[in-house]
Amino acid sequence: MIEFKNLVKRFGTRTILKGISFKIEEGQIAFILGTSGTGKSVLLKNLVGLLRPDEGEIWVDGREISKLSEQEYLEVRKICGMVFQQPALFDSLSVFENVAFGLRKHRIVEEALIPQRVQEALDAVHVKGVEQKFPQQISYGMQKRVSLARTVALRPKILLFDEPTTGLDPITTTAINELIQELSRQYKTTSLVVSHDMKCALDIADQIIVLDQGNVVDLGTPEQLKKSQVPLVKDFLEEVLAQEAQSALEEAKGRRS
Amino acid sequence: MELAFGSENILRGIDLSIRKGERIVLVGPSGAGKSLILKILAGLILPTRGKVFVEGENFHQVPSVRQQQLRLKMGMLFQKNALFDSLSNAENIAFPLREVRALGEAEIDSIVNRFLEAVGIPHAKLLFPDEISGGMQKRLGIARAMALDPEIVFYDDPTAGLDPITSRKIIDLIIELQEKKQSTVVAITNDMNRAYQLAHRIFIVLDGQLVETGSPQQTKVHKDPRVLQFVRGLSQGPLS
Repeated sequence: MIEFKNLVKRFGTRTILKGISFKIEEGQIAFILGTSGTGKSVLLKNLVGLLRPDEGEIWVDGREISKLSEQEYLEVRKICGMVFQQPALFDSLSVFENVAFGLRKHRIVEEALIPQRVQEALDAVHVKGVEQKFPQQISYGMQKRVSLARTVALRPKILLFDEPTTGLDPITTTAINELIQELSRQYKTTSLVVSHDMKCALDIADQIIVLDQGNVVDLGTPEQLKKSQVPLVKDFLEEVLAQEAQSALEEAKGRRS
Repeated sequence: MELAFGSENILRGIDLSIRKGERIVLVGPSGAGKSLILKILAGLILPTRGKVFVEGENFHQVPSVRQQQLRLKMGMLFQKNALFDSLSNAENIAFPLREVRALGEAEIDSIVNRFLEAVGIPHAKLLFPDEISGGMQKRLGIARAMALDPEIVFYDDPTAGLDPITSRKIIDLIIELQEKKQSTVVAITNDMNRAYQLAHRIFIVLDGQLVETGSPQQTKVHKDPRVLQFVRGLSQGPLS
């Protein structure tokens, strides 16, 4: 569904992406991990055409897109739904109007069908009874859910998440991670998640790609990465794996007593 | 202390006593009022009811000269660093030194160098904040907060948005600086691993109140089901 082939991106004399290649199959959830400043966001921006690569190819849905004109790119953007770090809701619109906005703007469904489509999207993120409220009247966790609803209402084939759980408390983090998984399955999207949440990556990813200084240094399923010998990957996963071992130990103790 | 905005009670009866040289971490759901507690402690906002004592003195009742002296003992790292875009990294650290200390340029430069070195970014001295990575910006914010040599340091989410390796290093740095000076640290984070790494004592802000959960070890196996649900990030439980 998405494939990067030897992607290179330079800013002036600095090379940010140094030949990135990987492939995400249709329906997969892929996580991109990497230290801050290693080019993860640059990669996402290349995919949605906000930046263009200097070398290499990007294939989306059977089509090479990196050299498309701005006009042609609109079609690509239509199938990509982007979920930002901040909910980025419109303050002056109700929850309902926020979700309906994109449907109206892109004339995705007829006006008469909009209420039903909005309701479906809000149901999918488990938000009830706040359709007429404004963003500032609901909790931050709820705003994140509404922003997810706004994106999935457009039925994108591809969902892109840029650090969806940064700064959230542990319970809200778990809830958003569960939603990413649920929505990807329910709407049969291909999902690409840029994240620092190692636990979530191990729990829900089909594939994990680890970037370091503009290169892919490791890639595989969560089970494969748990056994990785790449120093950066071991460092990244150290705490989560220690916690898993600890919980397993507690559980075993619990069973014995 | 209590804090209300209009008719809305945000904080209801917060009692907290922090000893010199302690590292305290506040955690809690988004919007629970963690940052507000930090700002009240730092004297940046006035509580609706209640008192704040710093070094045994009622912060909001001492003469303004004394209040200013107490403020100078405090440093703060803001959630978004609050760096000056238009100033170089060196100038960002020098700014508060010029504002409040009557120091010569040579002395300021030597302090700037010392703190850039301490946070590990001496090579970024002449760059600007938007030319360095998020992790380096955090380090710069810490250097600026520490350059005034504060005895009490407040950190509002010092590792938000950073990868786990950089996050661990930032907390190591905070601990190192705290131990050297035996300063008092109050920090907010929602990353429980960072809370466990940093804290002597942990508190959870729940429903406008503060629940002390003790040391990291005590917190991990706390009896209150609300605490356990929170620290383990479980979707099912009394807080859902």
